[in-house]
Amino acid sequence: MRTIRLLIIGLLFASGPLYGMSLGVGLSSAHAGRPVAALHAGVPLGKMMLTAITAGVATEAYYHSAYQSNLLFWQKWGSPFYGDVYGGFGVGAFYMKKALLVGEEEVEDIDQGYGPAFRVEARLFSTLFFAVEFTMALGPATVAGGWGQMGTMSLGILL
Amino acid sequence: MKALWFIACLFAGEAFAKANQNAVVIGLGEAYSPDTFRLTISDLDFMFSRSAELSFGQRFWSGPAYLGIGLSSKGGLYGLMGVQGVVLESALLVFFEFQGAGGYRGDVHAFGVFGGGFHW
Repeated sequence: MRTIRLLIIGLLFASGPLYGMSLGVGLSSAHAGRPVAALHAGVPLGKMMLTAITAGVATEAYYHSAYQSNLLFWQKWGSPFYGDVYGGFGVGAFYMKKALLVGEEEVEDIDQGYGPAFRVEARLFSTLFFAVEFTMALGPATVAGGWGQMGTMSLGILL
Repeated sequence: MKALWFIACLFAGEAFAKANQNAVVIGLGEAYSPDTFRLTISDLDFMFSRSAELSFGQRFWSGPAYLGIGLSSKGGLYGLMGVQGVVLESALLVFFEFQGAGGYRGDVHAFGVFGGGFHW
C-alpha cells in the first residue's frame, strides 16, 4: 500500500512536463454505491499511460480507503463528432482498507487484488474527459467468470 | 484462460478476421450466467447488460480488438474493451470483453463477458 500511496503522491507532484497529464474526480466501486469522491491522475509514458486513483471516507464510526494504479497500453481509437476516444489495456493493482471503530477497538478488513486493467476515455473539446477505468482482480473464481474488481468513473481535465 | 486468450488476441493484430459491422450476440458473465444481450448496427451498440443495464454507444476497432463507449440508463458512462473473432469464416462469431459502467450515484461495476452470436 505504501508503494501505491507514494506513486500517487509522485504523480500529483511530478516535476516533469505536465503535457498530456490528466487530473479528475469521480466515483469508485470501492464504496458500494455511496457517492464518495475519488481522485484520479494519469501520466502518459510514450505509448503507455500510468494512472493512479485514490478514494476514501472517514467518520467517527468507520473509515474506508481505496487505492488503485494501472499501467496501460494507450492509444487513440477514434474521433467521433464530440471529440476523441482513447482507450488502454494493461495490468493493475488495488488495495482497500476499511475499519469499524467501536470505542477503543478497531475491526479492520483489507482487500487487495491485481490483474488485467482497462480504461475507456472520451475527450471533449480537447480539455475535458469522461472515463471509466477498472482493475479486474485474478483469483480462483476467475475460472468461473468471477472477477474481483475496483473501478472508477471520473470526470476531469487534460493539462 | 479466458484472460490469456484475450491478451493474446489483443496483440495478434490482423491475424483474426474482423467481423462485419452488424451483429447480434449473447454474453455470459459471472458463473457463466447470461449477462449481456447486444445488437450492433453499423458499429452502433444497443445493449442490455448487468453492468450498464440499458445502454447505447459506439464502437471503434483496432484489428480484432474493439472498444465501446456510450451512455447507460444508470445515468452514467459505460465502456467496454474486447476481442472478437469469426468462426471459420462463417456467420458465427465469438468474443471476450471486459465491460464496466458507472452511474452518478456511485454505482460502478465491471464484468468479464464471454459469448457469441451472428454477424452480417
